[in-house]
Amino acid sequence: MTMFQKQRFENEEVMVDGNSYAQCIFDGSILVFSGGTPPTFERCQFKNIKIELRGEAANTTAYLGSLFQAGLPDDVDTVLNKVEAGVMNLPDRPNPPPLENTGQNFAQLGVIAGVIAVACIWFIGMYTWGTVLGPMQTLDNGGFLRTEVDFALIPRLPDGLAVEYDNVRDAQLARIDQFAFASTDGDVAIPIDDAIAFMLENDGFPVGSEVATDEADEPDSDESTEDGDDAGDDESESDDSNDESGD
Amino acid sequence: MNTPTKHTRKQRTVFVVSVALLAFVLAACGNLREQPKFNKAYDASPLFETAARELDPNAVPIGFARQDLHLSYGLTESGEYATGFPFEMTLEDLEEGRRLFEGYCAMCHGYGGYGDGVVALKGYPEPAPASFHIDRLREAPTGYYFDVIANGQGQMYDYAARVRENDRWLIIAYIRALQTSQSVPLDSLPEDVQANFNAEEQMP
Repeated sequence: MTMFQKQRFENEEVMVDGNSYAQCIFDGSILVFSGGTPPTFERCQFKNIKIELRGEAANTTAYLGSLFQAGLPDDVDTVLNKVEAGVMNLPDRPNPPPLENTGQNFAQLGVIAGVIAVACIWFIGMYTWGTVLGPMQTLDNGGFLRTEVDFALIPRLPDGLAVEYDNVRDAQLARIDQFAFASTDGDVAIPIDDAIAFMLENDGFPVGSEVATDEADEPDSDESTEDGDDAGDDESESDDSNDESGD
Repeated sequence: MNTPTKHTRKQRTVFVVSVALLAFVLAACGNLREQPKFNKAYDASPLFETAARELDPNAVPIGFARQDLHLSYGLTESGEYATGFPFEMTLEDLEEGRRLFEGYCAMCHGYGGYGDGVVALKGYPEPAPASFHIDRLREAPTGYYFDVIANGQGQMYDYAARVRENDRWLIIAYIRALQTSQSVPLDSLPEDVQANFNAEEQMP
């Protein structure tokens, strides 16, 4: 006994004795029955088929024909009615085996597993990029993921501008690191390090909330007063008002 | 006999994939649905009549208790600007003040404090950053500098959240050193400095 499932029989001679067919398609085929164990058909489709009886089956039909010719048409009709009603007394036959797994279920499971795997890989990839590789990328460390896309969090000056700023800084630092005449009144400019040492040795940073102003600005108090007198009151007030808002 | 509707293998595969993708997409909707929303404010507490308990007006965050007017506000007991420093300055303090000044102040005020930082050079809106070497700022008390650093002035925003109180005094000390560096009577300097000055100025 052979079990056929979801198969297509097209333009061929099918020996059906003892077989079981489930969800099969018979197209233009000849179903040959030789009188053995009756076959079973479950949810099968039949298109342009022919039924052919051979051997024991052919003998049975010949016997029924003889009875019909012998004047017993009603008895033959009774037998055919039973065939049509499906109440024939057939011999017992074993239960058909369970349907075989054709692999389609595994294919569906494979698709689901694949989707889940892709989703997991995508999630892990994005998480890794956002927490590890992304921050590394912003530092432009030249790694294998280095790209020309400019999404670095740290702004970078153009090379030309950076050089210009470096020059400005160097010039300004050089200005406070040199000796020079500051005025015609005997005031001079000295390097900042000398000024710090001088102030530390001469109480240039007085402690206390209400120390005398003259002590704090002792070196230039006279000079500033003289400048104020020279420049005139109106001019000095105007300068002060502008400077206040610019701090 | 009625034949059940047949689906091809391709149709079933598309259906399964679609359901899986839909489930994956919808899996993220739970948190959004359950999170607190703007349009559903928390109920007011029956004790305080508000959702959040209001702070006591005298509450002070941990680490922000400011009881020293001079150190924390640059003021004297009478509310005037302090003229001195709240603690003794050392060479290390001045070096730290230089580092802080160059980090926070020099971009606008310049490394020499002349108000010619790179920001100002590139078109800082008027008024330009002040020079620390004008008479008014040379004579300004230290508390004034502290106030400006903490609260800002003019175009300058406040640095209260960026520069700690002690560090503000270090910056002020370095500004004082800058002011002295750029204008100091020659005869008040030590002899070795005067000698160096004369040697430098006599060089061609």
